[in-house]
Amino acid sequence: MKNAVIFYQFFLFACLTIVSLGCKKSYLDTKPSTAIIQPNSLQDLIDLMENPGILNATGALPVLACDDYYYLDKAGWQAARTATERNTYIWAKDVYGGETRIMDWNAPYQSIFYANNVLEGLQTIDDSLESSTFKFVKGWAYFTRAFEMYDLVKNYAPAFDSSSASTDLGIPLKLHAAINDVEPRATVKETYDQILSDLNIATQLLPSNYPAQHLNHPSKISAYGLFARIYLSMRNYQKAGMYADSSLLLYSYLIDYNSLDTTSNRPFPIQNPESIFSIGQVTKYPSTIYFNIGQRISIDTTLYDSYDPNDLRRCIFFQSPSPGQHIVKQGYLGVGVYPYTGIAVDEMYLIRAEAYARMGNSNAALKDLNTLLAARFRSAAFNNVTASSATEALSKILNERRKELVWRGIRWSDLKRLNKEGANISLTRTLNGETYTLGPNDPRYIFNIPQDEIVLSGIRQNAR
Amino acid sequence: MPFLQLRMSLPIGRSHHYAILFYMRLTVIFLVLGMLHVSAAGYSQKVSVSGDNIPLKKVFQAIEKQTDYVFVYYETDIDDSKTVTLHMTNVELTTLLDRCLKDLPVYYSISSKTIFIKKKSPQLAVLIPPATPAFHSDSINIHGKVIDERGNPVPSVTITVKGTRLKAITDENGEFVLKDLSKNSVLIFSSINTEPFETNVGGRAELQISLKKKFVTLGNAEVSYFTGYQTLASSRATGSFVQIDQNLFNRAASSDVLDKLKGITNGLLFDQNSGNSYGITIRGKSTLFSSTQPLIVVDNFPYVGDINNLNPNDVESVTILKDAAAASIWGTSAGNGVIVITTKKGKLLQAPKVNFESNIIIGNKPDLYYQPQLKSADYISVEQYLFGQGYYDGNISSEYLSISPAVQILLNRRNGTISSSDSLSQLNALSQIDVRRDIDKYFLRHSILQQYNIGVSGGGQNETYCLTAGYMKNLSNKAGASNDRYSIKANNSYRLFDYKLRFDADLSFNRTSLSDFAALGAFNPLISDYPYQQLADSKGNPLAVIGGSSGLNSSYTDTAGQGYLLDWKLRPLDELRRHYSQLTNATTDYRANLAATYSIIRPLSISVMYQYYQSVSNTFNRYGKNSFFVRNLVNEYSQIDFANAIITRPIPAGDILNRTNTTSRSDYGRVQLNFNETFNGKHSVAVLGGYEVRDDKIDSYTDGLYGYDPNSATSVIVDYITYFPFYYGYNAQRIPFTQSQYGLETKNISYYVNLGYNFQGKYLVSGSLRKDESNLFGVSENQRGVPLGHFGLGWNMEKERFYSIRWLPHLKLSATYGYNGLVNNNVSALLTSSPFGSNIYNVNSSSIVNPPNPSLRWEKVKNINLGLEFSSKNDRVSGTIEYYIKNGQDLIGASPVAPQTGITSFVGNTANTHALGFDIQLNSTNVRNKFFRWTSNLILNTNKNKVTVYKDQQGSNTDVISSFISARINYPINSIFAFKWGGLDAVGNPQGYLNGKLSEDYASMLYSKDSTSYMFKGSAIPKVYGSLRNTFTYKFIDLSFNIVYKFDYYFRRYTLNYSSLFSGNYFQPDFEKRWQQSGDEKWTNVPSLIYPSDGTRDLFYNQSAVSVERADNIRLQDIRIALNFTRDQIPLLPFSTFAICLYVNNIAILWKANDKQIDPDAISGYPIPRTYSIGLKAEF
Repeated sequence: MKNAVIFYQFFLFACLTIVSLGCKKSYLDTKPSTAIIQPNSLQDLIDLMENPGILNATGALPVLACDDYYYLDKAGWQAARTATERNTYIWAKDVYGGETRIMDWNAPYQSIFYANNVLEGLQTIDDSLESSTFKFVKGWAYFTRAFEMYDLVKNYAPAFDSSSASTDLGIPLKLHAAINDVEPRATVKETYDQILSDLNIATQLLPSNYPAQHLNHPSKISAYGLFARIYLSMRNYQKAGMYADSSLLLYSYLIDYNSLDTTSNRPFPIQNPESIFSIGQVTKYPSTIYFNIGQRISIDTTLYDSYDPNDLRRCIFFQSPSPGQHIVKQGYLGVGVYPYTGIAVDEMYLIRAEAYARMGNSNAALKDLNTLLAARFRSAAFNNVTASSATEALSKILNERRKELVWRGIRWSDLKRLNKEGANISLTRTLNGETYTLGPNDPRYIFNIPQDEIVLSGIRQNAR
Repeated sequence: MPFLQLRMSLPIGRSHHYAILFYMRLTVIFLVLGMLHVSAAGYSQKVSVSGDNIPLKKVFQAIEKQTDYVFVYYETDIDDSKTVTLHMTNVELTTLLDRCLKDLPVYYSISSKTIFIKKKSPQLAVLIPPATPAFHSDSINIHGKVIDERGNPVPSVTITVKGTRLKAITDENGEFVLKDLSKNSVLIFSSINTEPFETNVGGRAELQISLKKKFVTLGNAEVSYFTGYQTLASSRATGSFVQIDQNLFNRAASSDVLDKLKGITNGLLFDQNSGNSYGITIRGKSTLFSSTQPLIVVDNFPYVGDINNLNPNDVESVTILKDAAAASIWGTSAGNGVIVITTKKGKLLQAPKVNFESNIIIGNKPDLYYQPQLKSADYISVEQYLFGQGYYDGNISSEYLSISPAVQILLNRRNGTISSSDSLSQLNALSQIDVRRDIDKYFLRHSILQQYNIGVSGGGQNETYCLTAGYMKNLSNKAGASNDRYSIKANNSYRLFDYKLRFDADLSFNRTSLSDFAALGAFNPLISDYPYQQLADSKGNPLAVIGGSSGLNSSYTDTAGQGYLLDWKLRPLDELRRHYSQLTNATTDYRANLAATYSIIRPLSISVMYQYYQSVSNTFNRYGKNSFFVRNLVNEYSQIDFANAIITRPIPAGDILNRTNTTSRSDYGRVQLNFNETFNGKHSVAVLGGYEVRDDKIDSYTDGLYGYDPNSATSVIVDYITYFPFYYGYNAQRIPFTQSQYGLETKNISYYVNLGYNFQGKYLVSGSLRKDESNLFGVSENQRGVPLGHFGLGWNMEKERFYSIRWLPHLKLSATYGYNGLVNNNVSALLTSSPFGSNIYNVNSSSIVNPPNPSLRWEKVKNINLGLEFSSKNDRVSGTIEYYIKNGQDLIGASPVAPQTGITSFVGNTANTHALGFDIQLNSTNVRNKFFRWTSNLILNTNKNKVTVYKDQQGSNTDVISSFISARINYPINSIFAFKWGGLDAVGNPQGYLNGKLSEDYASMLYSKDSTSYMFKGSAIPKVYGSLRNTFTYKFIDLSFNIVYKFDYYFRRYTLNYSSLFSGNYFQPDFEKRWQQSGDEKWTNVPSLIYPSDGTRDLFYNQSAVSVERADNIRLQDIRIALNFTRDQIPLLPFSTFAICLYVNNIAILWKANDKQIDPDAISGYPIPRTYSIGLKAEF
């Protein structure tokens, strides 16, 4: 009986405990999972941005389509894993051959989605302190949006041309996180205006010091760099040169390639001191990744041969798995197989040099070019490049630009831009005697918008 | 079902309710000639019973029918095997009883209209306490209440005062009053449905007596449904319930609880498309993307953990709650229906009973030849073709990428290192090999499952106990894998303070462990690299394989490292035989269920229940230093300085141990008030209301150790930061970091009230309301809860005065309406993200998992149920017919959205569904005679559903066709659509239709929205299903077999895909039937081989109408033969009962609609192998 009383008391106690527990309002405020965060602090938002797998991905179509490489034979081309690789190579009218979930389109929009969520999250955070972290995150989000929108517009819209920009179709401008709003395509002008405006905000917010340990962080250095890259593609050389100069004023370190191990497959460290903003391509296409071994492709022979034997880039950028076949080694990202598409100091030198040359200042232009090349050639064998005119300097700079920025996704927009300048560059491919040609300013310089986007949002497709 | 006997009933004599039943070919005849004289004074009632070998129970039944006496006995003492031959007409009751019990080990005693049948041993006497001596001779009035073991009132119990003529009968409320009793009177409680019970009044004026229900099926004994909150007599229930009793539950031999419900449970569908891991649904699906898994309740509380860890031998009965009235008490957990499992308990006043049970189940090997695959010779011819096209040149040009043995031969020939005749003979030799022979020989075996269970149960006057222990060991079809389970369970119940307080404790302990080989490198024995793979040489010595597409070329691994590296070969058979790696898991479950019920004042009682559950699971993945996994990893990271003969190994060449510990804990508390009262003897009210708090928590962590030494339990610290270059190729990776941890916690608070009212047992009204609140993430506070409930009506028609259908003594109608809820914890109204560790810059990072959706609501399922329950006289035919409507509302669904939004599919409240169907169960006794009985049980379920609202836009054709759930308005929830088929063209290309015209523009057909390109084929879930079970009993032999059927559904079979074939997947059907030359298009639908393959062409063909088949099938699920012996038949038997059972499961498909040799339950993988089992069961 005594036990019974104890039981009885125990149960009354249990009963009371349960009731009192339930009365606590906070009982249901417990977080249901450690794996789920409701991002509402600055740190939570930073964690979202610290996601190179999602945020640091740019399209790879410009590499697939450009003339830096060729298939060794038709069999190799046929054996390519995706229809997109095959179609892009021969500049077919239909790029994707029925493939969907095209990362070249989806990944940048996913980054923009993250940036928009972070920007909207920041609005709920009390920023009365105007802390440097708050400003940095905000700047980072704006920078990301600008960077990714530019990546989209250079692939999916015509090159910027002030005479037609207000009628040319650009890209949908997603400026809010809400997923139920579907945007139509803005004009090219509206798109560039938006990109430059975002970048302008970013530049004011970002710090000016070099993020040595975190190359995925933007800074004023890389914001100026992006300005320079975009203005160059818009053929506004004066501004391009000015921003490249601003960037270089803040940071201008060049790696002396003489200090690198030319036999290494990974010549550059993750903390690559020449990179000012690290970002890589999507890795959907086996042909574009570093060490694309197993793919029957090689670096364009003429391009490869244009590197002087004393040019260290020849053995630092490439290696030859079999006679006559040259493939790319791991580049500036210093990790993984994602080709680097970020912004580095070498590009800034080249932009400034080009701008100087175009403005007739061949001395300044050659000085920049030689500063760069001195860090690229075997020290003993380097001789300064000379030019008798600004035009010759420009031609040498453009030549070096192609060699320096190989496999970085820049060649394609350079071709679009240069052909606008009247460079009249035609590309040709040959497969088993059949020749494919891409003439200057061909509409096929603009890629198709993926079919799933067209079906679901009804935006206008590009005519190729 | 045809009835083999003619039945008629004739009114005879003065009394209208005495009848003679003539059964043709019936050897037992009860001649009931009427009762002559009724007297309360003595035993002078005259009875007549006649027949040969009549079961004793039938005799008692006959006597009960002829007199107002009731029999009270222990089921174990009087079972069906005890028979007597009697031919007595119009004799004294006592004469008859004397005569028929003469040779049996029992005696009878008569106490006030109750005939107690007791065993001739005195063992029960000690359980009945001696009467306390009287201190006063004053008389008292007693008010009492009789309840069953669940606290529900028991009406119609006869209470007699020992040695007197005084008696009372309990009312609807279980209550009685006895006046002018001596304080030391002994009360005897008896009724047909309860175990007998005696108690001394001991001066008490208020009594509460709890009687154990006796599930003796005498005529229409009532079934009770347990909902987890209350026990409902079937005559009081308005909702839709299905009860599986212990006999039926134990029919099938299996170690899994749910497996045993297969084919015998009305409304429960087992199908691979069910959408949950158990593969079950109750009354179809009412959701699109949320879980379709029914809630599983054991005793009072939802079962936490894997229900298959529960020892099936502990199960007393299973109740399925199907409609709102039955299930809505479970609120937001009830949307998919509820399965309530009741475990075994002891019985009051029962001598200790020991059960022993053992089972051995032996299963066939899976049939490897079931899945179509390319013959080795065909596969080699494909490789030859691709080799000619230069397909392998990429891999060949690298020194390390893998190439197959056939390609190696072709390459050797191309390089001129072998002659063309050598190459031919080598390829010929390869094409003779079929890897399935080796897999079958070395990697598969017959499965053997053993189960042993022992249990003791019993009870005294105030307490009951039931202790069980079980052991199960399973050696599955996969060589090297085994699992076992120990389970111990103790159930105790005490009645204290004169039955005012009842205390229940149920403690259980389960330990399951499994052991398997952790990995055979990248080699999967069931998906070998090539159809001509050889796993062992002719002497049975293990051979090396490549190990999937990521494997290394064998000529590379022959020489790589020049002796500095570890052996780089993968020999799957070696790994298996030498146990190089081992996966073990041990899970220990503890569960404590405590409950107390206290009667506060007469109609009101309070119950407090609490469940504590804890489960600790430890998984060890040990890769031994000799395993390929370790050797490969060590080699990949090794760096060799050949000049100085130094090898650097960032990963030490020792064991690698990965451990995961997961601890789950659950606290569940409930306080419930019960109110039971009958007003004016007519209005019965039963109300319960309560409050629940629940907290489920899971914590898990994983870590990994390199260079682990099992002897000293030491490990080596490795560098996780540096990117190490791979030994081959150009990749660089960090050392895999396997450390991680997570925690989950779900909290719920619920309030509920449930009302039952009936008027004279005729008209039933029920209603309930429940509100659940949870810590569901990202929902604002006022949206945390959702109120759900039901309203139901029932009508026991047979209780009406006007009811006069004599052949249908039981007829009940019911109608219910209400809402059940569904929880989807995967979505949130606010932006949520998930951390995934550090990025390449060693900084924490996270990903968005859920974009914000402020309008998110809970899913609801509206239920309407109309039920009809009937049984004919003597249960010859009985059954239920139910019609239901289930409408899913605010269902959360995913729909494709434009990628410019940053995501590709959106999840939100997008859809409504509508389902209707019938659940029909018919039971009939076709033949019933002295030795032989034949019964049939038919289950027929139908479920027709469709999507009624789908707010989001439709994607392209391929979204409609490829996704399993296509959510098209007015089509079933699981629809199969297919591209219209236009045959092959003159060169073997498949043709479809685009804008009404024959087309080969596959991309447009796949990715446009032209709905004329495709057609609706049908539902992927059977719309009609059920089973037919026949049971034949001859003397002690019991034979039954079950036929299950599924009708009106479709499946998409696998069809040839050249892209997949070229990348090495040789599991392709119809390769021989492919278009090869002009004219083939007339007889085949299999497209020609083209190179390079066209992914859209393959996809179009795979998703075309020619790949869709009707799935309808009828299968003989099982056959069971049981031999039941009792001590009465075999006096020397050391047990009171003894049974041997033979059971064969998964026997054969009797009929199927498709002619492709495809079992619709095994579209992928292999059909479940047939199993044979033998079981023993003894009780003493």
